[in-house]
Amino acid sequence: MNTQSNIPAELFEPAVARPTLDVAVASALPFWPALRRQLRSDARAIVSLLVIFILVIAAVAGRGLWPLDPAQQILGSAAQGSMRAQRALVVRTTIDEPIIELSPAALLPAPQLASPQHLQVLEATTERVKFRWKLVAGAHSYRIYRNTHAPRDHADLGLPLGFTTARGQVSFSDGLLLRPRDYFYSVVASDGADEAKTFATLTITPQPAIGLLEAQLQGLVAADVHDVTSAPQTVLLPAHPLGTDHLGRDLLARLLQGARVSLFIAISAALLYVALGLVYGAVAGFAGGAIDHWMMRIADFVIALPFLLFMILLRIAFGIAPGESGVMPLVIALVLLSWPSTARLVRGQVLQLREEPYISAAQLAGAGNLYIIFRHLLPNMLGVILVTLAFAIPNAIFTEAFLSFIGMGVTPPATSWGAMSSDGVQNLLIHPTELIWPALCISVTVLAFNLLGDALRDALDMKVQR
Amino acid sequence: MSESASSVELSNQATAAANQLLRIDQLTVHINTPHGVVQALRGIDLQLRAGEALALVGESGSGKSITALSISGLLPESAAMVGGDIFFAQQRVNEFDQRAWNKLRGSRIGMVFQNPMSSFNPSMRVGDQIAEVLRAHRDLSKTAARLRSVQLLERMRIADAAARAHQYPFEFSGGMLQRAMIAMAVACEPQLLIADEPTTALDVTVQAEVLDLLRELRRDSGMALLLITHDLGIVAQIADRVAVMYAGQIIEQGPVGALLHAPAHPYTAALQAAAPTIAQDFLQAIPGTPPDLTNPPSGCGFYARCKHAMRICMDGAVPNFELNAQHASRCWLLHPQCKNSEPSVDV
Amino acid sequence: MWRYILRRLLSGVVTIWFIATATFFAMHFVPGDPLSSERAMSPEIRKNLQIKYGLDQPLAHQYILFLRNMLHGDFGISFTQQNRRVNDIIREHFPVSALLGIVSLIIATVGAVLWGAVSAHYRRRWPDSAIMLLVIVAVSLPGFVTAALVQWLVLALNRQWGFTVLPVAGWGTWKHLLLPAWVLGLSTMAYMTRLMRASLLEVAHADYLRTARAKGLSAHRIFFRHQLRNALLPVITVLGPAIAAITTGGFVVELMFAIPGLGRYFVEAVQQLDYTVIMGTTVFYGAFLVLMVLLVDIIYGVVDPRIRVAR
Ligand SMILES: Nc1ncnc2c1ncn2[C@@H]1O[C@H](COP(=O)(O)OP(=O)(O)O)[C@@H](O)[C@H]1O
Ligand code: SF4
Ligand SMILES: [Mg+2]
Repeated sequence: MNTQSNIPAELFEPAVARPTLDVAVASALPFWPALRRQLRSDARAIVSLLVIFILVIAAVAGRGLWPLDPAQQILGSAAQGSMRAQRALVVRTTIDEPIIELSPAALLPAPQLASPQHLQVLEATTERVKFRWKLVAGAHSYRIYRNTHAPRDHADLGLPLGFTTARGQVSFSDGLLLRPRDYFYSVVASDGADEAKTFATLTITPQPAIGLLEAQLQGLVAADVHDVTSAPQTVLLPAHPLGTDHLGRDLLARLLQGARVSLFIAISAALLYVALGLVYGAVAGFAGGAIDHWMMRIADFVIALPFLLFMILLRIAFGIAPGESGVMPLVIALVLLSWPSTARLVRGQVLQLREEPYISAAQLAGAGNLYIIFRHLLPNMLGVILVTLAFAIPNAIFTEAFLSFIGMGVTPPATSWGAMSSDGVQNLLIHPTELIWPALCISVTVLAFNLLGDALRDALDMKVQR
Repeated sequence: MSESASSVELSNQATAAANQLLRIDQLTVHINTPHGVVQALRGIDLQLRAGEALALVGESGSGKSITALSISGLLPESAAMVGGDIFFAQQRVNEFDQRAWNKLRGSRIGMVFQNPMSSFNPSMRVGDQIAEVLRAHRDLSKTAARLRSVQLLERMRIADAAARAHQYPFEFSGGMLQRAMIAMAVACEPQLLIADEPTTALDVTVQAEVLDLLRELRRDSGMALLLITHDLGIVAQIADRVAVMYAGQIIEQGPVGALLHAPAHPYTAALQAAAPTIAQDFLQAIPGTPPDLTNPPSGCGFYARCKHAMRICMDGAVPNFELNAQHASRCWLLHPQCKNSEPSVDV
Repeated sequence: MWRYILRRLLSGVVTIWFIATATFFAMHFVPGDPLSSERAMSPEIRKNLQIKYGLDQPLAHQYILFLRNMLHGDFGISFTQQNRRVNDIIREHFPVSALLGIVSLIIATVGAVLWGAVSAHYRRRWPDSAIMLLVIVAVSLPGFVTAALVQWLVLALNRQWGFTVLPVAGWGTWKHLLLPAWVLGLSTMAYMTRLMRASLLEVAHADYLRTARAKGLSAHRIFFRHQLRNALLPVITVLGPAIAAITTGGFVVELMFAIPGLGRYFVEAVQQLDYTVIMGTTVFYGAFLVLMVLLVDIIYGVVDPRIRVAR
């Protein structure tokens, strides 16, 4: 093969400049820069860190961000959807006096009930809608329905609001969760036994309004104002971007307060118990022998306690003094029950690291135990600790939510996302947003920390593999 | 050359073609990794006759295992055969589908891997794992397969085979498990046994037992053996021919005696020199590291570590020079124009 | 093996004793005398209780009395429901919780194995990504949120179709069981799906799987006999925590789906500070969970020959 002799002879001379033998191994980056580089290339990490950052800012800024008082109840605007700031007429709510129209015709039974005629609006504010109609011959009473679209037929009249009670009553007033939008009121006559098949419909658009007393309570109107009929005035009602809850409290303000409480519990409990576990595990692992044995026995016992049961138990045991929010007992109970898993993990790491040659070298060189722990052991365990922390926080959030949900967590007037969800579940069918927002907050926060934990673990695994 | 001599040679060649069990032509395999495409095999040519024992030697990472896995269609998902052909018993296996492979593997090609402890299913009895391969390829009843697997274990000189067949892999010692692995590989009397570093994970004392067993099996059954190792001591004991791999290429190939006593390639010579001192891991004994296969050099892969490197060595691919019909090497030192044509043992 | 089981049983007994002790002292430190609360309680019940629990006796005495009662399986009488023994409450309502728990554990495990297998099979392709996304969403939803959302959706569906597709609350028929069991098992299923996927992928790279392929076995046999079987082992180890999660998760689910299980009674007892019921059910649940973990360990030992033979 290839034996043709046409190769220049000088090519067979020894090579001069040869590349040096590549023995140098790429030097490893220190912990933080390496981690940062890994995380920066991970979309999960970026998104979750961003979300966590926003949440923490929101929780810390709190009322600086949205000044409404989270505890203020505005019963007049309970369970509302998203609302812009709006002008509202101040009205004085008086007792409703029904209009009675008695005529002999009404008393005589009629073979056929006609549909009511001449429907007429008397009041149209969100505080009260009132309307009347002409007497229908033979009608015993009238049933009133309300719908949000024009009824198509007799079966489509909408929400039955009630029926007139007084004989000859030809008016009706409605104050049930009114919003400034179109309502279709239908009136159906009834002879006491059967409802007529005919009906009359009236479209009413209530004007935004607030009761005088309510306005005074909120400080929107001076306390000495009594007459608003002769001198009508309007006030500016605050916006509720996320609406209000069943007690008329601003949901956004409450979410922010809840964020502060939930995140405080989760982050402080997680930090505390990871720190406690770290110290405990490091001491046990470093001491070894009988001390280690007994320390770990204690940890084993605490791990054996059914976690949520004992959270409940401890929470009861700590009790709640009047005026307390239940936050501190929760944090303490969380710390008391959660530290052993971190302690086990850290102890395992310490036992492993202790065998590393550079540790024994440091010991031989006369380094003190504390020096070794802080200079060698802790930096080497940073990765594991970070991952533990990232997963500890969502667990604490879940625990808080669970306890608050069964009424064993944060108590009023303080609130948390868990406590808000608990309220929201009660009102789910009439006002789902009250559950959806706090639930979304819990889920997004937990999701963010879980994703961050995953990203951290992958990043650190990769570092180990290199 | 006289007339008669050339006709003898021709007839020899004809029998060789008929006897040929395995032929690999210009096999090229690429592996996708996060760090780029590793050119694991860069044009491998290899032939194996029926009943022949070929040793494939080379440093770790030179592509021996990838070659073995290509032959049995077991390349990892990330790897792809991007060029070349493989013929097994005159059949081109490149386009084999799963069914065709399953007829071949375990039945006509047996495989023994490096680490017996991790190569057995930990949650299945050893006897069942042997019986399983018998039932997949032979029309045997469950009891017959069990009986046969006990016989096979006995044949591998495992004491108390019936009881052993009933045990789990973790109850076996490494050497015993490797013998069970061999039993599994030869259960269906394959034409080719591929053993990928079968003794590397074992104690030195146990290594000899396993090698004896392999030799004995070959003598009795006449199967061909592709033995992968990096221990030249083993090569001398068992192989007919040797192929030396370096950086995804076969850089020297020849009869065991000629190759070991008169290596034609500086790398083979270096291996030879390194072998007696550090039998297990001579990687340290040859200074330097193999080239990065994500970006292999265009010239000789050994250039950076070679004492004899010449200017021509980086000048494109090194041709395969034939010393004789059986012995060939990829080194410019064999070029007739080269004055220094004796690769010395001192590297 | 038997020695191992015996040893585990013994340590289980010690753990239960520890749980009982911790319960006793936690309840003992509740501010104020449990009997002096403003709860309506007839004088004779109060008297009986005081004698029964020796509340006038020194602490050590009370503790011994408590242990002795527990040992005899006597958890006392409810503080708030007159003449109702805690034992009866447990006997009556635990079977409901157990049925719900078992069904949701089955849903969770079977679902996890299926989804995990699909996910591992389509690794890095869209079915895998979709399943992993659902998994992480599912583990990020608190149980009561899932429950509320599901009830809401099914209610809307029932209304839409004009008949009850599935009841969203109550207890009695198998139809009542489906929604709560699924909700209760969801996060466990998600967690185990992830584990199953990771485990299958790890086993997929194991040497013995390459051996199985080198033996020319059918894809079917390789998957079921070699890959799945070994991948299932780590999933079994998390059954203990899974049972604990399903048991405590049941508290909320029973409450929300109006299921007369023990969990709901426990939560109600907690809300009403019914001390005997709290203590009795806590110790009962504690013992139950310890036994379950023990059972899972033994099952694991039976399934994994490395442990079965070695012990
Ligand atoms: N699964 C894999 N993924 C990525 N690279 C691989 C893989 N298997 C082998 N390689 C690469 O292919 C080359 C040859 O490997 P191999 O055949 O295992 O070497 P040998 O068996 O000779 O030690 C090496 O460079 C190795 O890094
Ligand atoms: S080709 Fe050149 S560099 Fe390569 S081994 Fe031969 S002499 Fe050395
Ligand atoms: Mg190899």
